[in-house]
Amino acid sequence: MTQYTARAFIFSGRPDPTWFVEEQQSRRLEAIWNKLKPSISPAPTVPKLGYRGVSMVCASNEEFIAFDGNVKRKVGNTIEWRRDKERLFERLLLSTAPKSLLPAGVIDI
Amino acid sequence: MMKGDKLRITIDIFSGRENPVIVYKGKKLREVSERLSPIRKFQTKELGFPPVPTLGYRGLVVEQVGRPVKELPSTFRLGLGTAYGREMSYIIADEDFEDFVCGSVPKKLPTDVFRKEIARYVELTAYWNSWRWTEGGILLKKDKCKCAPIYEPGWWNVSTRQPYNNCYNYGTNYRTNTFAQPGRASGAMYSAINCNEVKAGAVSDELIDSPGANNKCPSEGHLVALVVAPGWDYHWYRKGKDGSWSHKPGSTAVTNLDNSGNTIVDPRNADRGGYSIFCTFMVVKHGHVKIS
Repeated sequence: MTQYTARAFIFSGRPDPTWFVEEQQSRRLEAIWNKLKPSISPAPTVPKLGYRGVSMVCASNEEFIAFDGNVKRKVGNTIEWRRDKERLFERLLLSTAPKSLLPAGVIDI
Repeated sequence: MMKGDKLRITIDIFSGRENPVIVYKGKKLREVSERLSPIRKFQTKELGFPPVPTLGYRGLVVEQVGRPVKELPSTFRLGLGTAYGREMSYIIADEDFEDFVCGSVPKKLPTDVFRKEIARYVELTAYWNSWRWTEGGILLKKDKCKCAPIYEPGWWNVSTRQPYNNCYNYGTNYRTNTFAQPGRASGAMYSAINCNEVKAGAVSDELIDSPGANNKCPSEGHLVALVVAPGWDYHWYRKGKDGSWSHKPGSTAVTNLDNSGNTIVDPRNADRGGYSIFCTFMVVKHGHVKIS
């Protein structure tokens, strides 16, 4: 069974909230990823206060990071970008967080 | 004052056209002379002329015919209330003399244009005053906060430091690689996210609360600022050597820009996203604080 850990990039002082993603949900996320169209890496953004995206990492070192309509998949040194205009991946991943773990009203997507 | 005395003032402003000239004589000359009287010597710490030529207003050139103001040379430059001549510089009686000249400008230089140019010149002069020449002829930004840490994002923004140090680490200039929390080192970590709790944690780490600092550098150590997003997080900014502010939003890179992409002159007025409460300024005395 593949174990995924998610993390919302949101805090500055406190450690960012993390949670486990159930296998069924991770399969749904991978299905979304497989349907997304490849894209080029977006322009780098200025580090900001507040919500800055969400990631999902598995023990095999595979990592997804979603923010602002883009999803990045990193395996070892290989990076791939895909466009997620509807932010389906990001929304679903955030929805897997336990209730009240993420501050209300801060993540507005 | 003798008959025939007069003052010829050239407004040094144009590049292609001839500069406008105003000539004062008779009764008006007496008033002008009083305004131009030197009252004290210019101090080197005060603003001087910009050290490089500039387009737009560059000061006044005053030529005295018959020397109506005897304490001043026959020809001198004047800008922002200071007269500069050969081996002399004086503050004159009317520090707003240029504003007075605005009332007599010829038609080719509309008064509102001249006023805007004077305002621009004030800004330009202040800008140049924030730089200094080294003995080797290199232009460096003057250090406004001599004891403060330098802005060195390149040192923090590497994979061995960036993810493991937060705004508190950066603010205190203290790398722990533990995502340091206010009060944790002293066993008095905050128990709620509000100004009083987080500040109390920082005080127990030996930061000094300085609510009246008003964005001014302390004589020892450096200034930091605490802000809070009520109920969910806190954040720190630090004031650097050049007087500007920078910060490290969580595990992201160090930056000197706020959420709108503007440089941070005062964290009280910066775009801080959801960190809506400005709590206080605090002082970090180097070697005194302990964080973990």
